[in-house]
Amino acid sequence: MALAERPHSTDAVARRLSLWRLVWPARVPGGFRRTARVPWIPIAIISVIVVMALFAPLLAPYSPIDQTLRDKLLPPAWMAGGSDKYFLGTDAFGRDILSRLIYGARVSLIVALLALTAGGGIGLVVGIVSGYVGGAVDSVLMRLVDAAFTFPAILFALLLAVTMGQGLGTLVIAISLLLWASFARVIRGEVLSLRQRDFVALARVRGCSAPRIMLTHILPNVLNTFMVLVTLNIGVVIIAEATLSFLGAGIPPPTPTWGLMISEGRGRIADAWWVALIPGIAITLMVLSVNLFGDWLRDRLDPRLRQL
Amino acid sequence: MNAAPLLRVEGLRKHFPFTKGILFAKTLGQIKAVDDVSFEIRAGETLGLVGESGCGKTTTSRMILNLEEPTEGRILLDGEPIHGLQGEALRAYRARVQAVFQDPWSSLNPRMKVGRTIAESLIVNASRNRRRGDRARIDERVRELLLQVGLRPEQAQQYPHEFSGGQRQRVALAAALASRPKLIVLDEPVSALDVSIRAQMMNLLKDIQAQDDVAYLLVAHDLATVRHMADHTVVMYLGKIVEKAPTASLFEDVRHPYTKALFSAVLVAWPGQAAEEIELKGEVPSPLDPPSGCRFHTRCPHVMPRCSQQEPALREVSPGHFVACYMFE
Amino acid sequence: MTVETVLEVRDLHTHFFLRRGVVKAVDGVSFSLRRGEVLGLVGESGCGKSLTALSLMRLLPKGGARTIKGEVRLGGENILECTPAEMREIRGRRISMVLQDPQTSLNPVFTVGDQLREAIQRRKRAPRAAVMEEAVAALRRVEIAAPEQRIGQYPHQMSGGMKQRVVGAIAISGEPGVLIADEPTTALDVTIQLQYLKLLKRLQAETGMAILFITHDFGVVGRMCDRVAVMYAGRIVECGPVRQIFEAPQHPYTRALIASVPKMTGPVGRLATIEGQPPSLMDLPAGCRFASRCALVEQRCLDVYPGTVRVGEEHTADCWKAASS
Repeated sequence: MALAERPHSTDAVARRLSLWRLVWPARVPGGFRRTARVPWIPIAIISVIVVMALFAPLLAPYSPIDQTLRDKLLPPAWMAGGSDKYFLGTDAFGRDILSRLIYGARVSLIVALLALTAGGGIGLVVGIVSGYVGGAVDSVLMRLVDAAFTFPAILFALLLAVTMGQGLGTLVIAISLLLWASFARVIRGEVLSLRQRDFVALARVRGCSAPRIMLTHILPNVLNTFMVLVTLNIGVVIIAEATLSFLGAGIPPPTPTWGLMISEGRGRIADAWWVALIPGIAITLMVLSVNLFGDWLRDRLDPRLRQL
Repeated sequence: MNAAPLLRVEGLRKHFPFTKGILFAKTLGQIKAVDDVSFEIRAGETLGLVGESGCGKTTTSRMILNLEEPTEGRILLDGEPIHGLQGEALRAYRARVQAVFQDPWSSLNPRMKVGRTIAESLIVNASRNRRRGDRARIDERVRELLLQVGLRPEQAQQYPHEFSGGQRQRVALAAALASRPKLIVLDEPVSALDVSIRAQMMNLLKDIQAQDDVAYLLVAHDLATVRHMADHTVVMYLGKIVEKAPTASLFEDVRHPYTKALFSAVLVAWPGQAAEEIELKGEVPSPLDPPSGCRFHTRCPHVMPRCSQQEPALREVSPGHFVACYMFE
Repeated sequence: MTVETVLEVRDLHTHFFLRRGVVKAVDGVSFSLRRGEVLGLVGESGCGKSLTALSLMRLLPKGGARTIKGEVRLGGENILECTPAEMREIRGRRISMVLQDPQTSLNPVFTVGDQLREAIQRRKRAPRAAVMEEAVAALRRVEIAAPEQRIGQYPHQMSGGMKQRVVGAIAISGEPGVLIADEPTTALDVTIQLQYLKLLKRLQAETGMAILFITHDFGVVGRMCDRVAVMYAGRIVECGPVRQIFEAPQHPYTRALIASVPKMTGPVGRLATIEGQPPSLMDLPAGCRFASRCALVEQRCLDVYPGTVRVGEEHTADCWKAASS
C-alpha cells in the first residue's frame, strides 16, 4: 500500500522538485539525493568584503585616517543623535567607522593572502617531502612540527614585534609560523596514504626520480586538500591578525585593521559600543562565511577530510 | 633451445625485521617473506608464480622490479645483477622491466591524463637525454600503444575516471609497453576484473606477447588463469618454492601435497567434476615463526616424522619438474 | 514433492533517484527460494545483484535508492510493507546477511564475544553466563578452534577466514530461515574459501535454512548452488538448476559468460569474450538488454523485451531465441 502511493513517473517528479529544492532542501518524497548546497549567503558576504577591499578608495566615503574631532563618537545614522553623514557612526577621533571598516578589510585580506601563501606553502612542501621521503628526514621534520605546535605563537609574535618593530612583515611572519605546522601535518598524512597507491610504485618502475614523483604525482593529488586547508584557515588568520593588532603587535595605528578598531573601542564599550561592536560583527561574519564556504568546499572536493 | 635465460633469480631471500617501539625500536624477529627462491624466465615466455596470500610471491616480484632490496641472493637480467644499479644503468634497467598491478583504480594517477601516464617513461628518458625534439615522436608512440591495447588514440586526452576497470588495465598495460620492455611483471593483472573483461585482457596479453616477444612474470592465485597464460609455473608456500614445472606437466601430474590441495580447492565450474577433494586443516602459519623443517608439515595430510626436522630440497622428479617433498626421494 | 517456499520475490524494482536521472539498478527481478536450497545469483559488477540483496533486507544505501515496486514475501508476508520496527525484528531472526569484506563487517573496538553477545541478547534476555555459553557454542558451531579463548579477542587478532566465520556465526545466531551471502569468499584465499563453503553447506544441512548466494564466480556456483539465477542489467535473464545452466545454457549472455571463464581442463586456446559494454542503467533499451552485444540479435530483440520463457523443468530464460518447452 505504501508502495502504491509512491510516484511512478519519477522523471516528472524530478523536474518539479529541482526548483523547489533551492528553497526547501530537506528530504523530499522519492528520496532524492541530498548534495551539499552551494552556500550562497556566505559566498555573497565574502564577495562583498573582497569588493570592499579591492575598491576601498572608491567605496569609502571618507579617508580612514583623517580626524574630525568635532564629530567624534557619533552613533550610527539610525540611532538618536546619529548623523546622516556617518552611516556607521564615528570613533573617538571622529573618523568614519564605515570607511575604516572598508579599508580594514583590505589589510585583513592582504595579511591572509600573504600568511597563507607563506605558511601554507612551507607546510605543503614540508608535508610532501616528509611524507614521501620518510625515514630520518620525516622524523626530523615532524619533530619540528611538534615543536611548532608547542610554541606559544602569540608570545612569539609579541617578541617579534618588539625586536623587529610593528608592521605587515612582522605580522605575516608571526602568523605563518603559526600556520605551517598544521598544514604540514595534514598534507603529510595525505601523502603517506598516496605513497601506498600503486601509481607511485609504477612511476618508480617507469624511471621517475623522487623529485619528479613528488612534483608530478604527489603534488597534484594533494592540491584539493591544500585548497580546503587554505579556506578553512582564512578564519584563523583573520582572527590572529585581529588578536595581534588588538594586543598592539600588529599593524601600527592609524592604519585601520579590524582588530585594531576593536582594540581602540574597547575602553568605551559602555557608552560608545558601536566603535568596537561593528568591526567585531564584521570579523564574525567574515570568519563564519569563510568557514561555511570551506566546509562546503571540503565536502565537494575531499569528503575524506570530514574529521578536520 | 638452451639459450641463456632473460632473468635469473638465485637464492633470493627477503627478511623484514619485525620491530616494536618507535624511538628505540627493538627487533623482535624477522619475517621471512621470501626464503631461498630460485627460478629463471626465458625471453618471450611466461612464468606463473602461484600461491596464497603471504607466500611471498608479491615480495619476489617487487624485488625483481627493484622496488625492494633483497636480504640475500641475486637477480640477474641478461647475466647482469640488477641490485646496486645507479643512475644511467638503473634507468636502462627500468626501461627493460615494467609492471602491471592488480588494482586498476590505484594504478593510474587520477590527476594525470592517460596519454601522459603512457608517455611517462619516454618523457623521463627524453628529458634526461636533453632531446627536446622528441615530442612528436612520443605522441606518435602513445597513439600506437593505445591502438595496440584496443583503445582509441583520442582517449589519450582523458582522465582515468572516464575509464572502466578493464580499460584502465589496458592503459596500465600500454604504459608498461611504452619503453619496449623485455619483461613485464603482471601482479594479478585480471583478478580485479569481471569475468568477461578478464578473458579480453588475457587474450590481449597473449597477443602482445606474440607480437613483441616480451616475457611475463605472472603473479596470480588463480590456477586456471596461470594454466591459460604460463609456460612454466612456480608454486610457493610461506616464502619457499614447493614445486616448479612446465605448466602442462604440472597440470597433468601434480606432486606436492600443498599443490594438490590448492588444485582441489579450485572450484571447478562443472558440478561434481572435482575428483579428489582435499580440505586443508587450519590456516597458513605466521611467516614470523614458520614451522621447522618443511613449512607445510603442520597442514600436510601425508606428514612424516622427518618433515618437521629437516627441510626437503627441490628434487627433479621428471624432466623439468621439481618438487620439495620427502615423498619423492 | 513440494518443498516449502520461504522467500518469494516478485517484480522487484529498486532505482536510484539522482539529479541527473534515474538509475534502474534492479528493474523487475523475480525469483523464489525454497527451504534448504542454495540459489546462486550470478552476474558481473553493476548488474544489480548486491542491490537486490540489500532490497530484500530493506537496507538500501543512503543517497536516493528506493524500492518503488514489487513484493518480497517472507513466509507469506510482504516485508516491503513492514514498519521499520517490524523490519528490525525480522532482520537477524528470519532473514540475515553475510557481506564480502569481513574486515568491515566487524566492529574493531569490540571483542568478538561482545559482538556475538549483542546479537544473542537482541533476541532474548538471559543471564550473562548463559549468553556467554551460547556465544562460545556459536563459535564452536562455525568450527573456530579454542572458542573460549577466541571469544575475548578483537577482530584484528584474527585472520580473514576466521573473521568471516565469526560474521557467519553472528548472522546465523538468530536461526534465520533465509541467509543472504553476498560474495562471502571473494576476499579469502582459495584453500580458506573451500573451508568456508563446506562449513556453510554443513550449517545449512543442520538448520535447513535457504541461502541466496551472490557471486560472480562460476566455480563457487558449481560447488555451492542447487539453482542459479543469472542477472544482467537489472534483470534475471536466466534461471534454472545448476547442471542445466552449465550444460545447456539457453540465454546467449549465460552462454558467453560461461565460455569466457578459463577452464582447468581441455584445450588452452583463445578465450571467448563478450564484446561491447552493458547498457547504461539510466537509459535502458526498449528491447532485450543484451541485444547490442548478442551474436544472435534480430529486429524483434531490439524492439520488444522478450518475456520469460520456460525452457525446461524449472528452467527459464528471457530470450526470443530460447527453445520453449
